[in-house]
Amino acid sequence: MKKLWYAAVLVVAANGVVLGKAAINRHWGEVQRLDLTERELSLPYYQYHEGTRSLSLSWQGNVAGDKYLFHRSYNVKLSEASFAALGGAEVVCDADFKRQSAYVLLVYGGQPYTDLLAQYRALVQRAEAAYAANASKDNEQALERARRNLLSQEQGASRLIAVDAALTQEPLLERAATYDEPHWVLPARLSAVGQCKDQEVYVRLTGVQQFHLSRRQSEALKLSPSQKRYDQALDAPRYRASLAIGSLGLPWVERVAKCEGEC
Amino acid sequence: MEKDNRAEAQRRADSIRAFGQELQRLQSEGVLSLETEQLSRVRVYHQQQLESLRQGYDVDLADHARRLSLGMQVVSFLGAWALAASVFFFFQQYWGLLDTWLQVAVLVAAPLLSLVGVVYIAQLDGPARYYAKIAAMISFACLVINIALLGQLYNFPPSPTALAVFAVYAGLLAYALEVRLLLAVAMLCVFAFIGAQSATYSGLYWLSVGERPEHFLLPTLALFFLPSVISQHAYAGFSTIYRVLSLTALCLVLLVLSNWGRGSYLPWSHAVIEGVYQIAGFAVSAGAIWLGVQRGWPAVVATGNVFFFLFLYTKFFDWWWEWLPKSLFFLLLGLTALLALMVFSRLRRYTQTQAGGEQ
Repeated sequence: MKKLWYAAVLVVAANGVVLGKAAINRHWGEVQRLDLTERELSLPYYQYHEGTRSLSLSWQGNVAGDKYLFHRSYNVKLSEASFAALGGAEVVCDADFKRQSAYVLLVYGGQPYTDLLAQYRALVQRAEAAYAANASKDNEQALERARRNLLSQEQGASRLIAVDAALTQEPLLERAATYDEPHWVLPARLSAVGQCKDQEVYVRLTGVQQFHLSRRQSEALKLSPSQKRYDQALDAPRYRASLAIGSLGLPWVERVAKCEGEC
Repeated sequence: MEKDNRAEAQRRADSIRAFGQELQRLQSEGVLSLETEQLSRVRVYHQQQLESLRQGYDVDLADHARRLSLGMQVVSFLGAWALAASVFFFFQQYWGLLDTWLQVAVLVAAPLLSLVGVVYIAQLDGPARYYAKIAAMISFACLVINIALLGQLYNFPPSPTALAVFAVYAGLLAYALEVRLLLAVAMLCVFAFIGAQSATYSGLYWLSVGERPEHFLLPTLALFFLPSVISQHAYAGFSTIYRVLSLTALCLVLLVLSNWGRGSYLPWSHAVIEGVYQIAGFAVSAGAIWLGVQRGWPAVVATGNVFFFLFLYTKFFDWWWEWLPKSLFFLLLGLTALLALMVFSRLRRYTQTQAGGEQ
């Protein structure tokens, strides 16, 4: 029976550590806040038998998605210095590179978002020119797609843009200090894109990307899941959500509220 | 003889019953004749022994009782998993109806109350503890749900530390109630934790540990030899679980690396790495067979056999599948098995001769 006592002590200790960390995270030290909308914290689809709801992080790379991508891309174009810091094309293109732990810097709105919009507008102009030169079915569909993607970016896509990546957090925190806009450094895995010639990497976030909603928050947000259909532009956001990031880097949804009119 | 665990008690009971049956045969064939008083004393002594074993260890005293016991073990195994799944889905369905403070209270209380249940049931249960074992499985499920959902509530990123907690908890319950299934679960958590931690120290994302199987080599070897260092005599079947599960995990790692050299840290070409691990695979499985025969570990012998032939057939596939007619390929596999049977048969005759000579 002594072993069962030890088991009870283990349960109490494990829960104590988790709850202690959560308390320190929320009530001790600096708390960063990001005021986001459904564009950045979407409501995922859930099964009818699941009692809990959460918000899912939406973000995108700083490279416009091409015609085959569904509303957004996760490719991030790095500066020469950042790409060299990863090891250059020789290292990034190696198959082992994608197994390494890395970090990515996300910036909310501001110049990175404006630059991305400009890329999508350029894609629309290119599609219009192609259609004007040759009014084929393919060009017509490509133009429709380009316009739909631009509309999605303007009204519904995430404004959290990944602008840089590195193997450690320090260079990204230094770079983040140059932005006035809210920013966030998250753990990720990087892998090569194509032949690694364009200093682009494909980013997959590895940390928490679903944020729990309490019962009260879920009741305040009695909405259908965020719609994402490949043949329709993303809808405008229906709610605001304030995401707090505590001193230990653990995020939580502080507030959610439906938008009265436009968000 | 000291009877430290239920398996040994069962063997003692089987020996007594076998002795009684053989004695009857010898008497009926006129080979041996005991005086009535001697016979009576032996019978009384054996009856007392069997009664003591039944009360102390709930041993089976008849063949049909043993078959029922086996059935009860299977049913308790399935029942444990079903009840654990029921607890999990119950949480999943009704969770969102509770306020956060109540969710935390339920999560923390669940494994603690289930532990109280385990203690209470163990006191009422027989020596075989079928119900207490089910309760222990449910308690483990409650802890997993506790840690997982608490992490979800507060948006903790997944961490290998949780695996260490699961391993220790499962291990404590396994040793408290002699639950072999929980020991196996604890071992799997240990493999996963050590592998994940070593992956993290190497700069890998810990969930990518499966892409570098070499992280699992040391923990599997350590746990294989653990029963030789720390006696598991008092816990029926634990040594076998340690050895078989560790050997299986080790051989699986070698099998993967013998076909996927890219997953290795070794700074050689993939072909060389695969060759090295193929040789290692044969060596380890043959070594396991030899060690199992020497030490009297039949489960290790069986596991070594399985993997030896798996490695062999993998090589045959690499060499001959593409260009041999399929009928000939499978004929070769069958002939190899027959050859192995002949070798083992000779080996068995040799060891029996040796044993007969020693007697």
